[in-house]
Amino acid sequence: MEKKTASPSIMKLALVLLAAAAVVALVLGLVNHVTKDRIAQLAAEKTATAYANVLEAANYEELSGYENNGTITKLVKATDESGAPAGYVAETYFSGAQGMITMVVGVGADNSCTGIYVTKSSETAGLGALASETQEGAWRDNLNGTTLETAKLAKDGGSIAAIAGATITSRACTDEARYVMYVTSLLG
Amino acid sequence: MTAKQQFKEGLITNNPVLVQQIGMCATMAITTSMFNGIGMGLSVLIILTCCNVVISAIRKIIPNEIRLAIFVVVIAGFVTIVDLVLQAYIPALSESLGVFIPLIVVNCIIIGRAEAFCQKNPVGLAFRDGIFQGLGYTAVLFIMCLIREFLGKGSFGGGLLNTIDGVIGTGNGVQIFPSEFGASILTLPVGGFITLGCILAAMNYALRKSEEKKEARERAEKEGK
Repeated sequence: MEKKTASPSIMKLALVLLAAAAVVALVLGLVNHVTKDRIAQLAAEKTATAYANVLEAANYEELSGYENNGTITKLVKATDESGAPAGYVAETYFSGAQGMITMVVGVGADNSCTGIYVTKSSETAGLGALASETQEGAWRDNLNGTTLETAKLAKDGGSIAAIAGATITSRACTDEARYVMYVTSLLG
Repeated sequence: MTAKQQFKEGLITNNPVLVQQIGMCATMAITTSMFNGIGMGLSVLIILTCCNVVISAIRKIIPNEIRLAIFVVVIAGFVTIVDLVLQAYIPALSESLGVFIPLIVVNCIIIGRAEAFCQKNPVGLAFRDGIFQGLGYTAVLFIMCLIREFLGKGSFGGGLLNTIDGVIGTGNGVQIFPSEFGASILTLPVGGFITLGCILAAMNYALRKSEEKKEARERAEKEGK
């Protein structure tokens, strides 16, 4: 059997691949180091905007030891300047149609939903992504003022119309808002 | 190969989407707004050029057996850099393009050019190839956005013109006619397929016509001699 040209040994191939991967990893580590603070800052700003958007309050106080099916990452109690309770704000992380959705839910003092604000999602543009829209008249306004009983899609017996072509996303967001209202109702 | 030849190839005769027919996935999914389309086109252009330059520079020292693995490592590296930079400095684009930025890693255009061109050509040519193929890709995305936005929603320049509070990336562009009169199917993924199909057919026809004209001219010259 003749050998065409000496082909490098497996060891050499493995070492070259390791070297290439190591160089790329180093460069990526550097870029990550440079950008991570800015990315974290942007995420915090977005969450703060979401809080103010769903439930404006003077103080937000984090709670613990509440009922949680795993989707609520943070629950805070909102109080106004005089200390009177104004409701709750919950940061949630749950499964949508194309991946996980991060959403902030506001619940008023009367345990009705004051609004939702999707801060991160990878839903389909033009379909599920419409749930993330925040302008006047966007889909999310449908959930304002809904309660534990009414926050359901029309097809599930409630009053919320799903986004056309994005039932899974609409249902996921609506059900999560309803779950938050359930948890806050237990807190009294 | 001169720059002019490469420019003509990248944009027309060897256009990555319309002639080579690679990298079509993102063209169909992204082109619902001008901001997304141009943003994606420029991202691919930058990544393609960087990858072309690096791969061409190391082409002589990569062992042939593992070249594809090394291409993928290099491409994934650059895509991650662009992804992190977009997340930190242009968050609006990062959010609109979403999962399609990491998908650039498997965009056939980049690995296709690496395999077909950069392996055998010096850095200078590879750099120009990256720029021109990237421009050809962006041009196709621009035309798709134009058609899908205009006929589908009656608007132009979504995310770039008529933005909300001057923030790039928001707003639905200039409304040319009310969106109820648009064929909204064009804004859905199936509309992307249909639009791309029509553009491919038009390009094919145009190229064939110009080929026939060239042959007719050459035949006439031969007979004239």
